Amino acid sequence: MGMKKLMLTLPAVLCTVALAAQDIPRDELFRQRDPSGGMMSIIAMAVVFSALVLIFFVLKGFGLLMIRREEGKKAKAEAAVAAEAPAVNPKRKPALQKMEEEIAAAALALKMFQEEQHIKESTVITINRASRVYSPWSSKIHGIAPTPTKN
Amino acid sequence: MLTFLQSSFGTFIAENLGVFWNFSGFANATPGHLIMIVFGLVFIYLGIAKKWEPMLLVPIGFGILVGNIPFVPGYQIGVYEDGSVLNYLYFGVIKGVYPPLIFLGIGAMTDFSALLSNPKLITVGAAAQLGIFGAYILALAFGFTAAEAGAIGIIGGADGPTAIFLSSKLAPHLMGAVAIAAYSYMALVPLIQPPIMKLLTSKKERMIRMPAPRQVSSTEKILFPIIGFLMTCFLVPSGLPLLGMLFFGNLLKESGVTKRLATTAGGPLIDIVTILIGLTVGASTQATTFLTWQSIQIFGLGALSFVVATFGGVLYVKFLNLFLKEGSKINPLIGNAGVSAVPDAARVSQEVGLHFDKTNHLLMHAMGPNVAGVIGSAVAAGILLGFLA
Repeated sequence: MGMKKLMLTLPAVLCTVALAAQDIPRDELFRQRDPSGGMMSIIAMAVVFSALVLIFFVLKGFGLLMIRREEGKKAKAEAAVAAEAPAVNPKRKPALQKMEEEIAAAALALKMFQEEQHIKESTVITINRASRVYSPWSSKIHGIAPTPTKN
Repeated sequence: MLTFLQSSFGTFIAENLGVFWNFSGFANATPGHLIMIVFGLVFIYLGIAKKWEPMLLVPIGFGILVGNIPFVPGYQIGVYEDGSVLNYLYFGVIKGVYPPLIFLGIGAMTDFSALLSNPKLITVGAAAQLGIFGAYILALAFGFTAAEAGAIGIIGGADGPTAIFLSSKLAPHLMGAVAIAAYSYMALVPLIQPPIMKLLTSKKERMIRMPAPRQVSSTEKILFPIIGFLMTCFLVPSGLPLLGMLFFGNLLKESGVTKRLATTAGGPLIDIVTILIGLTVGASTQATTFLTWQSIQIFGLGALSFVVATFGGVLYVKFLNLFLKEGSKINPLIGNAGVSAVPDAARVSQEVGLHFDKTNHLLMHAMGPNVAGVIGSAVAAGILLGFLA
């Protein structure tokens, strides 16, 4: 009988509790259940870590995939160059290495050439005082009308 | 003269002058207004003379002046008065419109290469979020409600827009104080962090040289915002407004085909929103609502949260180093950059690093945890919102 009564009243009790819980703001319920905030902090930090660790694993895997792809591309290119090199000059033994050195030398020469092209600028920002050499073209006295004189 | 004043017209003029005087700021000024005006002037001074976060401190400082001009209420003047122009502009803050737009711009300006080239640095951005939850626990101990504590805690994320977004949802009445504290401490990062970094690291640790980051392909850069968005937002959907905009802005930048949109998001748009958010947040600090004991507590807790965040970041790197091989160890001086004050925290790492070794440049490495901190603080904000709103 007691059990039956409990079974009958339990839903009503649960409904009352749920309704009471509905009246209390969610943050207040959180405060009541976790007054120190320690549990909430642990859970929240765990979620932040999980989110970022998940990204870490994906980025790590993806990065490895990309590195492998790049290496594959590089190896393919090197193989292609190695295949072509003997036809150009069969005597050249370490073809790849030599080609890289040539490219580096050409790049350096180009860079030096470009740097020479650049006009060397003074690092002094202030305007240099120009020497005022007299010229009738810039002469102020010739640029203004003569003062009228009374005859 | 006396006859004029005694005449009916003279009395009329005198009465109106009296009314005019009563409406003026001089008649309505309180010591609180004057204190806040001094605060505003200090912000403007720090922004202009010291160049501490001028983009934020100058608009906020002037906003404080705007918000603390004393007036008679009821004439649609102040930021809290319905129908006033300032109230309309403030709407974007209350409803959390501005922060996601700022995140869009941040995304369009951020280069995630440092993170992509060394993904383990992303976890440093998670460790530095300890400041948020340290401040949350302390705020609860000080008697704040859980929602208020969450809003205060987010100051530790060192992210102004996130702080405004979360406080506008959890505790709008504290938003002014939370936003001002977050932005002030972000500006003070170069003062707060270095002593803690030096305290927690040995000379040997400060000299650690990290290998140069590898070159990241454009495919990786394009896929990162899509993958990052899907993973973080599936886990924490409440962070969608911030994370969605952040990653969308980054996709605009990295896709290479929407240059105009990326330029607008990272240029004029973020500038406009920064002006509006800075001015209105500053104006929301009216002495009558701002100068309270709670605000002082919030400032104290905010400072502590920055300290805890720096501790968390640096100590986590030291912990991580226990498991890393020689040659791939991380310099703990970049641990502070886990807070999302971009790029100030990374700049602090660089400067402190150079102080001990003139040739050890840490900026590029520190940008990894720094941008991870932006993601981390947005995720943390999403969690707090999901739990407490």
